[in-house]
Amino acid sequence: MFTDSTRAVFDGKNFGTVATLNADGSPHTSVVWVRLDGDDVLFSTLRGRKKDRNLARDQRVSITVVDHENPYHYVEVRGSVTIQDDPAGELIQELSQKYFGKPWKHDEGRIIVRISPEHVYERGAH
Amino acid sequence: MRNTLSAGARALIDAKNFASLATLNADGSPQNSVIWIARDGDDLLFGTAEGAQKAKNLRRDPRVSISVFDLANPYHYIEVRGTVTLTPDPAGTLTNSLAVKYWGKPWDELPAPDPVIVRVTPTRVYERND
Repeated sequence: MFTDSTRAVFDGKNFGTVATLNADGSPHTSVVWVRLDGDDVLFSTLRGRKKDRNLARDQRVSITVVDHENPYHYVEVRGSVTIQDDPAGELIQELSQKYFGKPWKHDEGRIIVRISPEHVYERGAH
Repeated sequence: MRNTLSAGARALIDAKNFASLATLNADGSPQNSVIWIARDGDDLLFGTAEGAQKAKNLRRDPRVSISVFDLANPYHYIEVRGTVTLTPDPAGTLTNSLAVKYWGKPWDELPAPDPVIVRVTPTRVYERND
């Protein structure tokens, strides 16, 4: 599903912006750490956060990831999510190493959000 | 709840940072795209064209959310939620000024038929700076 250049955007230390839907149907965006798992996109959040509450109500998301080295190269992935508990914070620890190079503080209520892509749009690849 | 831009938020928008814009598709699902952005007081401005998916979405539902992070320090970011108004920009004035901001030179020709200026009036501003 993903081309090599799409994968490279996700594999770099590039931040994602995820759009979810508020209770009134309006969009919400927030900046997240991301990685791929096969053809799925993963990010971490906490139970009770706005993103989590929104996704419990409506599973549809859109995420963009911009290549920080060349912001004209970016990917949009649209799809729907499934959520699983991550009591040990495995995903956030892994993402913290990727982006920060050090462990994440321990926090309660970590979850893994998995996006199954339905639409992938890439712009500015070369 | 804050609906104006702090000095830090203004600086983020005024620098050459890219923004991620979420609009709503006909089925209510979110669409996200990366855009150039400018500021007019507390309003955010960006350009698109009639016929673009963004413009079609915004004509149907004017609610947006925009996130902007500092490319040099992505832990400083803002989310601006608001509603938009669309104004025709036949001369592509906004796109030209955005090209000067991001590229250092004006756009050579009209970027697309029927350019429009989208003005976002914030209803809520969230800022994070770790």
